[in-house]
Amino acid sequence: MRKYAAIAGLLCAVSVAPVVHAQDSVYQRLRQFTLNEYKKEESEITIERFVTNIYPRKYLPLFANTDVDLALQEQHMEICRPSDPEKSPIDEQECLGYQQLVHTLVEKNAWLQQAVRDLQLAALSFEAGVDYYAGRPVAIMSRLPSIVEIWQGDTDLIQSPIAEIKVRGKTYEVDMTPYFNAVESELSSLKTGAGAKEDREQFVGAVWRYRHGFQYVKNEEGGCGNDKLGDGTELQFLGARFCQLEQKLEDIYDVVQTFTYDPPLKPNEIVLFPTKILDDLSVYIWVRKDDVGLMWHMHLDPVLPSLDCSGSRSYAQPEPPCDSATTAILGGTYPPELEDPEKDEGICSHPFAKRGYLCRPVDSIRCPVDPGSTATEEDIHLIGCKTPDMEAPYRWTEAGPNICNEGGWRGETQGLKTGTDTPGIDPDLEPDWCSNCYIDTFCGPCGPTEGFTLPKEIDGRIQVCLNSSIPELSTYLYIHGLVRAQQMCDSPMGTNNMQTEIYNSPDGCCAFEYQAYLASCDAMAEDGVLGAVNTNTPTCAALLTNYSCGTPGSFDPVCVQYPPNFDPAQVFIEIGQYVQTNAATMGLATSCADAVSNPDARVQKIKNSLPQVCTPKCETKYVNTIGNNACMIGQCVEESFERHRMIPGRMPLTVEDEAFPWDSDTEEDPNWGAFLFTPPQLSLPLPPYRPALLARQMDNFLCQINGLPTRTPPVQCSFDPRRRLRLPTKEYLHFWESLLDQSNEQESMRSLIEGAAPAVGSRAGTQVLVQYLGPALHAFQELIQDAVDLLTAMENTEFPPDMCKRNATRS
Amino acid sequence: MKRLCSLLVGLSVLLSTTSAHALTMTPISQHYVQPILDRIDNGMGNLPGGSASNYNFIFFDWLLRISTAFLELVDTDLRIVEHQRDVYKISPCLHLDLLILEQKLEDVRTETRNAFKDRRIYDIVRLQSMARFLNDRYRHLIRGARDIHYEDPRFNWYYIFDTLTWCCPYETDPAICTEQDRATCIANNGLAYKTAEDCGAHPVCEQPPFLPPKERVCPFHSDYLPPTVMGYGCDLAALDAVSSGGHPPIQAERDALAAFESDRDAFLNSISYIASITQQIFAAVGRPPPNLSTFLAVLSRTHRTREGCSYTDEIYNPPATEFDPPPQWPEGAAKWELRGPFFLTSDEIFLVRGLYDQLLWWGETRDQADYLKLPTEYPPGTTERTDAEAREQNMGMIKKIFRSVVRSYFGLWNIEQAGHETKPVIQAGDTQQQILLLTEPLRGTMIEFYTLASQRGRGIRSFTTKLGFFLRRTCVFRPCNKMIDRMLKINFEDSCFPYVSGAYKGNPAHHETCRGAAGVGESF
Repeated sequence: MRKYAAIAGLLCAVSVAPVVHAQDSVYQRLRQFTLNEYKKEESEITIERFVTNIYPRKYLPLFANTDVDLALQEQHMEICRPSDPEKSPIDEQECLGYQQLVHTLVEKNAWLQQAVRDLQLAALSFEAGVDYYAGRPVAIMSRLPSIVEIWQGDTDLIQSPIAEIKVRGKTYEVDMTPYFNAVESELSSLKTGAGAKEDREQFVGAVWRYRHGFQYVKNEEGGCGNDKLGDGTELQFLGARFCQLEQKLEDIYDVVQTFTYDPPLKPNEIVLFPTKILDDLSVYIWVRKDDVGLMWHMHLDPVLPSLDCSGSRSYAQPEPPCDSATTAILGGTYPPELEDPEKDEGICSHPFAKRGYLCRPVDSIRCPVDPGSTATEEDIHLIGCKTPDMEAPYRWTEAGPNICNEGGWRGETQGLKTGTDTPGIDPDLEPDWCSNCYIDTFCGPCGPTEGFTLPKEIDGRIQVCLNSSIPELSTYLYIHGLVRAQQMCDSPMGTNNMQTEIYNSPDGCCAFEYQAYLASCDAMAEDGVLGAVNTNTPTCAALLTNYSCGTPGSFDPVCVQYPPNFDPAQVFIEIGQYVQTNAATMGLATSCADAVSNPDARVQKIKNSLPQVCTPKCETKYVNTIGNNACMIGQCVEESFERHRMIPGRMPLTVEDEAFPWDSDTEEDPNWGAFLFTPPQLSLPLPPYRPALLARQMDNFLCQINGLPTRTPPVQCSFDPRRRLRLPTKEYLHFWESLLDQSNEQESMRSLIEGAAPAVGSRAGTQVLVQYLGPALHAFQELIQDAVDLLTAMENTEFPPDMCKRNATRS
Repeated sequence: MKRLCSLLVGLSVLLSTTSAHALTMTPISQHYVQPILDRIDNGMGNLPGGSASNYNFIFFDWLLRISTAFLELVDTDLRIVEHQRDVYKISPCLHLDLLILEQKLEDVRTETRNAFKDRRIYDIVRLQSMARFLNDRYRHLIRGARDIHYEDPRFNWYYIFDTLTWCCPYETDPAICTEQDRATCIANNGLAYKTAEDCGAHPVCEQPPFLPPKERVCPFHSDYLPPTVMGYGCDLAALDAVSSGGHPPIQAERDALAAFESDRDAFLNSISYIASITQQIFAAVGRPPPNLSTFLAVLSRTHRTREGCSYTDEIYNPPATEFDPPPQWPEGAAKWELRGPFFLTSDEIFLVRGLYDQLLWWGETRDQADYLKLPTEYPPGTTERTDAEAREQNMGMIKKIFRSVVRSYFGLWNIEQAGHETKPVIQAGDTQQQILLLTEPLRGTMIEFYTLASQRGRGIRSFTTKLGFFLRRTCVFRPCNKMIDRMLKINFEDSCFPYVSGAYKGNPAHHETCRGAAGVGESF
């Protein structure tokens, strides 16, 4: 009762469902179920027919189908019709009894049918999710691929694949409407009647029958016969075939087979096409490349135990339980148990259901149990852990997360000139300016190993050497080599760097190689190799990592633990053999040179992902999924943080300070002000100032100009009247004149001295000043000249027009 | 008695100066001294000889005559005052030439003594004239040896001992004065004169219609000057040219000069590397290279001379008239040394005396006022001259006499006043001039400094501008953009840099001017 109340509540909640119009909406169906269970005035058509078939005619010889409803409506007089109208009518009390018998029969069968329906509804109420529109189930299977497609970045396919087998969504290349209409009309034709008298038995059986696809049924049971007819048992419609319907489905299948796929399909790749919902019937047609089938939009109707084994329903009519006289399937013993489906049968044949807990052993992905959890071994876990059983770190980077660093997620960057990478050494390959490295692949002897990636050289060249002993494995080896190159592409060159240090440590080797082999093994899984050798991607990666990082030639679990009972050497050999034999069919390159010259799409994708993402003038192309966009944003942010100057307004102490330690592209130090003339030290002696000597010289001067030797006191030189008297001239006139003129002579001399002496003193004083001032002014001039030199140097400082570039030694 | 004593003293004075060395050197000055010597030699060789019978009658005051003849030579003014002033400044070359003249004078004196002994009257007269001539030349030489403007006005006169003379043919008509042989002129009863003007001054004689321009003789020779780097002066080359034995002091001077030069050259060669190092240092520092064109120039010095009144080196090209520009001082020659062998500092007394003399000379050559000028003082061919000549014709004698009195007064006053200018010239301007010379290198540096500190497109402001634009890239929509904007506004505004112009002085609110002109607010 409570169940019904819950469903009634669901009905009320569902009452606003805009889903469908016709009678097959959820509401209509549930209403019908309830009416069928409780309606006292009408019965279902199947029950009606059944009751009619089994009602003892001796009681009511003229009992017909319509009498069932009349009986339920308590119109006993209507049903109690004697076979002969002239005979006495049937007693009313008897009639009541007969009516009651009908009532009871209907009630019992209705109860049985409802019980079956209840089980179905119980299962449905657990299984059908409700999405944001109340009542609409989540079409996970049809939508998951597109969701995954939209969300998954391309590196996730390699680094964290959801499935080893790839799933692809595709739209129809032709208009499928006529085909779907054909299926719809076929299905509609399986229903007869309407309303409460609708006979849906065959319809329901058809939908349930092809829920796993018609090819599945065909593969199980072969060709179609006995169209729409069961085998006469209660569960006849569980095994009935509907050939016309099958044919319609096969038509769709045939059309789908003609579609082309770009990129080409991987082996075992599943292609999902959009489902077609037949709204009127509440049925949808699901289309995969390998099969077409039907499914309920909401599986309300179970396949009820059949009650009719007439020729319209059955082709064989075994005696029990079918009563050939009445063509009603009678009850009896329990039918034989149905067998459990085999692995990959039934529901486990569907690609997503295959990964459910019903279809997969859970042990291999059981997560390690937390110490405080109450989980036990027998518990069902709906999630699994894919981490390898290896000690952390699983991945080691020098700085930052290096988002989407391993694996390829990009298309080719346009406009980069690139040379061609041939299988030989290419010395004329040049780096492009969007990348920090470029790959030069070499097929040839690689020393003791089968392949390795050399450290980056000074101009960014990374040599990947391939020399696989099984040439067909070259592509996978190439992928490994390329991912290793990706790991070192943005690091400094050479071996004197942090990355080499990390790689040379045991944990570091594991971390680097695991990521690279994950890519390789994922490629192998995509190609179906791992499926063939019955292993999965993490285990394959573990195997190869242990081989690379451990003692040469051994598979000791130095990095990753193997799952129990795993023989790595054997699996290794099997992988090699499988690839060797099936390389051509897989479309793999069969030699190293071929792998390099015609690179696999995955290889090309990895190569496309080498350039930087956020370098100006470098176009980055990628498929527009959310994951790829996240890779783009993440890589761009990382690049910016690591390589660009992010922080505006950052003011180092001086404008010449390096903001990042790898800046070494500043101009040469012009050494302004490094060489300055130091002004000479003024260690002047006191200039000679000898006023006494000067005065004495003046006194001498006085005597000299008078033509006399120095006398003391010098005034004695000023005038000597005897000068001319002592030396008379030849003529007396001249003598007399000269005598008179003596005073004038003295006068002129006196005026000379009067004029000259202060001037001499002034000059002597100036000399004293000049002797000091000369060197002092020279020192001052040198000082000012130094200031002039410094200011001139300042004026001549050139400011660079570009902001500092990182790695400016590379253009 | 006294006279005799003084005569003896005078003679012995002369004797002692020349001592026993007979100089046989050629003089430095071939254009002045050598012609003098040649004329004296000619004159001495052409002495007529012959004694006169009336010797005692003519030479009755013979003692007076002979004594004065040589007492004249003992001229304090010349010998002691003028010569003595130059004793420590005189260069050996000039000293040599003066010695040669004195030697010649000694020869004349000897010959005069012989002539007196032999009573050769005519020789005595001639020898007397020669002695006076030599003395006069000595005076001119000592005065004008270093003065390129100094002329010897009486060099070209025809003295009594010269062969030629200006002869006025007294008995012919017209009596035009010509240059003639003296003996011939006297024999023809002509009158002998020293100059053409003297000849023409005679009422009978006339000046020749065409007189060639007067040949100007200057005793100047650049070898008398102190040696300089340019090549002039009394240097080793000049001394070597004349040092052919003879005078030990000159020889010693020459040897000392040679030793000094060799030491100097060795020193200079040892420091010759300084030039390249200096260039490198200046280049390393970033300064313009210094001017080292004169460094060690003295090692490649060639001797140059200039003599007489010439305009250019070694080309004798006298000026045409006295109105033409005077000869140019040879570039790089020095009239006086600043210092000398007796002074490490400069000889101030000497230099001041030199300025005094130069000012006196300028005073002497100062033009008279226009109303006192003679027509000859105007340049020939000018209108002023013709006007003056016209005025001269109309001037009366009294006026001319008055004018000459005033002229002589003002002439003397010019000289005296020029001498008075010595003191103010030195005291008022000398110190400033010397400091100006000292600060010359500083001026260029300071101007450059001011430019770098204040001009918008140079130095600090240019750097700040460029730095601002550089920093602008590092701020993106942050307040530092506003800060830089403000900084640039202030930087571009000239009135915010008043330090060089000094406009900030006394103006306590100059920042307001700057802020207003730059258009910035109180703060950003």
